[in-house]
Amino acid sequence: MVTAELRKLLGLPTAWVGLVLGLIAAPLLVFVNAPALRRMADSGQLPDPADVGYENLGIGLLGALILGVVVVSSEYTSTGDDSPGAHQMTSTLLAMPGRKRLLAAKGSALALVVGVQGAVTAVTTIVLTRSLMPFAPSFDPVRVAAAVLYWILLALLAYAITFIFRNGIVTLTLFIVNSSVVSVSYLLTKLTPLAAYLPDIVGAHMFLRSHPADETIPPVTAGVVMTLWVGALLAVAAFLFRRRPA
Amino acid sequence: MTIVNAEFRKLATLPALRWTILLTWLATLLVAYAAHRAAVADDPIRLALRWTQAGFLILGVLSATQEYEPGAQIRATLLTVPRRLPLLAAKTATTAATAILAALPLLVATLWFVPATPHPATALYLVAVTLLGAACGTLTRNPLAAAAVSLSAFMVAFPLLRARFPTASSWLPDTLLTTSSPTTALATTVWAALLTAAAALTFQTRNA
Repeated sequence: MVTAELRKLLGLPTAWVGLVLGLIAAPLLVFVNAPALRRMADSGQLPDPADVGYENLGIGLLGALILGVVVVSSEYTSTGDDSPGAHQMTSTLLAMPGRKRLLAAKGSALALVVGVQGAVTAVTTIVLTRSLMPFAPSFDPVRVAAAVLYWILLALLAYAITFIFRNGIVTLTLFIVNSSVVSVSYLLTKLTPLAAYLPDIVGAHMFLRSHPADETIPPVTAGVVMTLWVGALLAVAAFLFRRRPA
Repeated sequence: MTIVNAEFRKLATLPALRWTILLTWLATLLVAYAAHRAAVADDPIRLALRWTQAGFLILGVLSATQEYEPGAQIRATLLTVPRRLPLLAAKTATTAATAILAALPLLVATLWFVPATPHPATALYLVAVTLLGAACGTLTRNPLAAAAVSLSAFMVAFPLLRARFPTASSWLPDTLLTTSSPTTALATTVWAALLTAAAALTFQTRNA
């Protein structure tokens, strides 16, 4: 089942857009940011170099996000203009009637692709940053692993939300708006400190060390909280998926 | 005028558009409230719109791509109104009118936070953003692709470009929201006009 889902996912042109975007965006951003960062470091204006390089990983998440969305929305896209009601999900469920297992297989295929993508991007970005800017933090396997885990969890979060709404636009809007320079979740932390536990903010605590928000959450707690978020949303998605007509 | 009337009724009866506008209002008020609590700004609504302008982009995208949803309503539309440029002109006019209707309550809400007159540039900006979204929708004919492209441009690419090239930033389409000057107003208008023209050209020459 996982193989079938992997082949379906990798057969989608939009998925390749997500893959390529996720792979090249972060390393490109390193080149864009390098001159300014180097100037700041030379003049001693860089307060904390602990996150140099790691900060750039955020933009590559857009790629993981697109993968999480299209893996579901492709199943619900109408197969043709003349058959508006027909979509691929019907055939998928004919082939794999166990809905929970289908959800798990799809999620595993997605996690696998995004995991490989995240690992390649994170390693490339960190090594590249280190070679361009010697003051950047050295390669730390634990932090890179945490960053990859963040990618996988965020992709699964997008996957669950798209399953709940059966519409990619809601997920895309929610996540792209939140991945802008200052995220909405961060603004909400001004309203209540509890907003620091929203999934995207708490997840970043897993691999970033200097935080714009005042709240500092230990990496392991952050990982657990984010996993709980993803688990809860996946449970809602599974419940709805089992109850709704396909 | 009949075409405008027909197009307006199409938009007014779409649940997706009603939801988009409603959620945009709620999100804008929430973010404006959060921003206002964090630091008293001149115009919290304008500040919040830096994020929630996404709602207006989606409004534009959906109002254009609804014709291309499964069932391809565009064929029926073109059977009734075969001349494409007048049709697109009517569509653009209705989308702009809808954007104004969606923007007005937000402008009024400014008064709720601060005793200042709402900035007229905000209304111009929101209409332009909606038209840019609509042009993206007409060009791609796919709501997901149009939403991804326009949102990534406005939320990620333009802020990055502005940070990298501060001198050219007033020519980006979204600088009007942060700095209103004749140049930024002109830039936003020109971007919206150019993209709408590109959409019109494509719509005129392409198979439906």
